[in-house]
Amino acid sequence: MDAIVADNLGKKYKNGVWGAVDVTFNAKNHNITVLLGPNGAGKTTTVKMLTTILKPTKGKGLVLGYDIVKDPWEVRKRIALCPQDVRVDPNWTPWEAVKGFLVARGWSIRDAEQEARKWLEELELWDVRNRPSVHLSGGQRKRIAVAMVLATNVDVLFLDEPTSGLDVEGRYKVWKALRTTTIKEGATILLTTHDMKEAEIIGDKIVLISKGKVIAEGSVEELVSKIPYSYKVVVKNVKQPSIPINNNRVLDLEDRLIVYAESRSEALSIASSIEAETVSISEVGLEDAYLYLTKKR
Amino acid sequence: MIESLRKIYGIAYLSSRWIIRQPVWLIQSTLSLIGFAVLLYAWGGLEGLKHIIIAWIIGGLWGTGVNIVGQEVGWHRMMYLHDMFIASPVKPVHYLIGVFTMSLIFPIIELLVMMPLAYMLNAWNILFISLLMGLPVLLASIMLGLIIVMRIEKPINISAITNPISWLLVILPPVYYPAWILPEQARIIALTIPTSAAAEIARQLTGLGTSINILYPTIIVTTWVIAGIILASKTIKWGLN
Repeated sequence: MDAIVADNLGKKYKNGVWGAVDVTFNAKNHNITVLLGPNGAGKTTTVKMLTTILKPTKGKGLVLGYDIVKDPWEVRKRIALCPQDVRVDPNWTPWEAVKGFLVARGWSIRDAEQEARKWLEELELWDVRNRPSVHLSGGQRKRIAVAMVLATNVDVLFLDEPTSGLDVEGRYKVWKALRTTTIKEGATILLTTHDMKEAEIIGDKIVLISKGKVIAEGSVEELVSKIPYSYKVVVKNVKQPSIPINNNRVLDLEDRLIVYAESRSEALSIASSIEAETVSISEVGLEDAYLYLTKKR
Repeated sequence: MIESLRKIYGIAYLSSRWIIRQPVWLIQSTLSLIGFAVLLYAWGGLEGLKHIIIAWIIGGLWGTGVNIVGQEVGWHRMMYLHDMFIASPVKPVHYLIGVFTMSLIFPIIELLVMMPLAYMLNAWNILFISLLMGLPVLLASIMLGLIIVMRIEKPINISAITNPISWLLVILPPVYYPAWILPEQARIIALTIPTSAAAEIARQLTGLGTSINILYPTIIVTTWVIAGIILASKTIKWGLN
């Protein structure tokens, strides 16, 4: 059974704007599914619908088989959410935040304390556990929110841009904690991000979303295989007035160009035909798949 | 049952951290009470002190609902912690009782300050009747606070709305002073406010009130409570918005 099923989900806000138009995807149990898209693509709206915060205007959503509108309490028992812009109360210490949140969810104080310790250690917040979060860095505060959610031990976790604002080290700590939760605790995670690299590193499955619609879904390899190109040539500061290549496969970035090629030999031939300051060749990745698939649509 | 109590405790625990970290709010609240007591004693002698017990309790409980509960819920909404609570097994009843329990710390401290005064004045009946009348005021106040905080789109300025409401409806109408000071027409209008109506009932039941029919403030308080509950039940949504 899929842990999350979104079927033609859509949300129209009071001001008439559609936050999500047609979101259809499924997320497998014990996997990390990444909802990937630019700002304003409908990721947060989708998460808010699936976590029963927003009522969908259309479509259907299931979490562990429970309908998000008909059985919201069954859904709520089994999920936890780390909202995109969550700010931990500046008066809360990491210890109080995690422990208090677990007790508020119905845990005994003893169990809550045990679990709080485990996750504060995992996210390297144990040493600052008794410091009010107002005295902690932005990254540490964000990690407290992540710890609050991971400590819940629920079946399905929703994390809306959990690494935004974190430095490289902080991001790796969160990624490790998320992978640990999936592998060791068997949780299912739906994570949103606009960061291709993050999606590539952490996701078992990627759902590409743009302008409120899901445009493709699959593993990184599956998405990349949808592009008819295998290589890209990145050219910096072209020294000739025009280049002899079909415009459809060129991405113009003002002082540099990205040219897509079907094979390595074609990429080499393109590279040698262009006079520029630097020319580099690499394999295509998720970012290229995203650009191609959104453009195609 | 135990799980429900844990949930309430958890919310109260989290909501009370700001008071633990900033106890100066409690000190300010207590000192302002003492200040008002001195003021009323200076102008009204022992009779003035009896009135301050009524005003303290009614005013304190009114402020607890509209100000403290309203602001705490607004704060949670603003920080998106409210979304975390919605996407969890926490039910609105746990959440509201938890926040309310935390906010009781203010009236409890105030009550502790009032008890020696009630003892010295032998005014226990005033204390108990005021507490009794404070309950519907508290209920109406919580409802009003919730209606305000749940209706506004961005609760960032919630205190700019709840503070004046909380303060004006206690300081302006006859709460700290008896309604008989006002001309009759003004008295009728002033007693349409829940705080002054409840204070008037408490004063009448303890022999400190006006000669106005007690039914009038009773109807006013009841109307505020019923209207508050109806409006709040229509306004407050726990997710699925």
